[in-house]
Amino acid sequence: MYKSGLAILFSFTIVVLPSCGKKESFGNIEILGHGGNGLEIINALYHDNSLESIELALLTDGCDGVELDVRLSADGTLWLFHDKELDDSSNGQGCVETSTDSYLSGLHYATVDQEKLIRLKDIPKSYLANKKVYIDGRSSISCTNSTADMTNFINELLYFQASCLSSTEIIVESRNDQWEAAIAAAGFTTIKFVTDFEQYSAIVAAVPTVDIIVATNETITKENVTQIHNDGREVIIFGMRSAKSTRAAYSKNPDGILADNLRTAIIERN
Amino acid sequence: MLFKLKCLFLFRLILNRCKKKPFLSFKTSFPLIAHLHVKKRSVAKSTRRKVSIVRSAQRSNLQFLVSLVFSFFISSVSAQSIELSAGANRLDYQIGVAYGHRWNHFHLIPKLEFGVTSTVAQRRVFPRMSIASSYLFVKKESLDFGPEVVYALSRQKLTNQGKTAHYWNELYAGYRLQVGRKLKFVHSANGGWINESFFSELLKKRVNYSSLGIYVQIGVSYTF
Repeated sequence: MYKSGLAILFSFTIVVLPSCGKKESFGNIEILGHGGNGLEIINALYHDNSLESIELALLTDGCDGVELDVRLSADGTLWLFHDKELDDSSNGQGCVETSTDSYLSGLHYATVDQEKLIRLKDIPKSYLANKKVYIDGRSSISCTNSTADMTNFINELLYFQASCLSSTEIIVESRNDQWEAAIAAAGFTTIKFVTDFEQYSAIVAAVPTVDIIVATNETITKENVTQIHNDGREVIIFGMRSAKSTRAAYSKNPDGILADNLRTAIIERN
Repeated sequence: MLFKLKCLFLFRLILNRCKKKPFLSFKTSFPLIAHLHVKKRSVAKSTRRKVSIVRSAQRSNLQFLVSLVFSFFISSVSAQSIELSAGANRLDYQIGVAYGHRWNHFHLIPKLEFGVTSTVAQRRVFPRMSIASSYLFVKKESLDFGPEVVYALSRQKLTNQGKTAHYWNELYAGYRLQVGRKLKFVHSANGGWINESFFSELLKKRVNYSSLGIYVQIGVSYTF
């Protein structure tokens, strides 16, 4: 009995002691749910880019917006889908870009909840009030090894922006430099992904209109973030799963993060 | 052991009494108890006095019922245990302490756990309460196995504002395995329903999101 008591005390100490650390506050950093409530993470209740996942993220207090992966269908409609091909994570075949709207509307993700694939315009606009929508515009079509129709894509984005409330801010990323310039010309805040900070100067020189730099937590330092800020640009960091890596990202003082573990990100920010 | 014997003796006494006056005939046993009280407190003649006797008899009947149920449980207890376990569901890891009560094949385990969001290095812990009930139909000397049903409720506050606590209700069914005699290795695996509920400041109402989930735990229990 004495030993059992000691064992209980020991277990309790292991759990409670880590919670006694000094807490910093990072209240000014925006949290955007990556793909809604998290991308490819085991403890997200729903599949990324599904309506359930996006709604859950947007309604969670402390979440400032969502990141969405957008592709243009063969009928010229913007659909939310992260992977290159449909059979990577859904019950469909081929690519979003080569599929019709009627085909895509009958598909669901290969998960226990079988969440349906949705269009960008299916997201309730009221849920986006005072939120930021980070659109990752996917331009390449892996099935045909070609590029999606840029004009159509930007026009669809403009229709979506017009349908949103004025308090909703839309920011757009494209890995295609030509698209980036056209998106900036259309009046959107633009984002550029930097895989390695050594490329930063070259990227900025190629696309000077870029407003926000996005980088993984592993490839960017606090000094890099300061340098980007000094250039008058914002920084968004992603690629954090654990609480420890989330805290590390916050300590670099970015303007925002893409959170895969939304709950952890919100808790750690406060 | 002595306590158990005393309980068993009490139970026998009650059983004997029930043989004379079957428990099912509650109304018929009532006058007998009322009569006993009358004898004990001497004779009551006024109406007021009679009402008090009837109330007292009713209380006695209730005490009789409670003691009967209590005695039944105490007399049939085969084991009590304390359990330390670590578990994981779709959302988190948990470390918990449980008290187990076992009546032959039937095993009831109320548990208080502390959830840790994602990693043990997490600085935020949150409470999780669960109750598990299992029917251990395989009951050998050092092996118990049977189906289990688990209900768990956890609560976590994400921000420091008023209504932002998230609640998770979980209802699972699965199996429970225990290996050992006094000190047992415990394992259970369950699958079922998980629901996240919280007040949405945006919609000004409580929202619910449900999905399917799993819950796996391992631990040790000490039977006494």
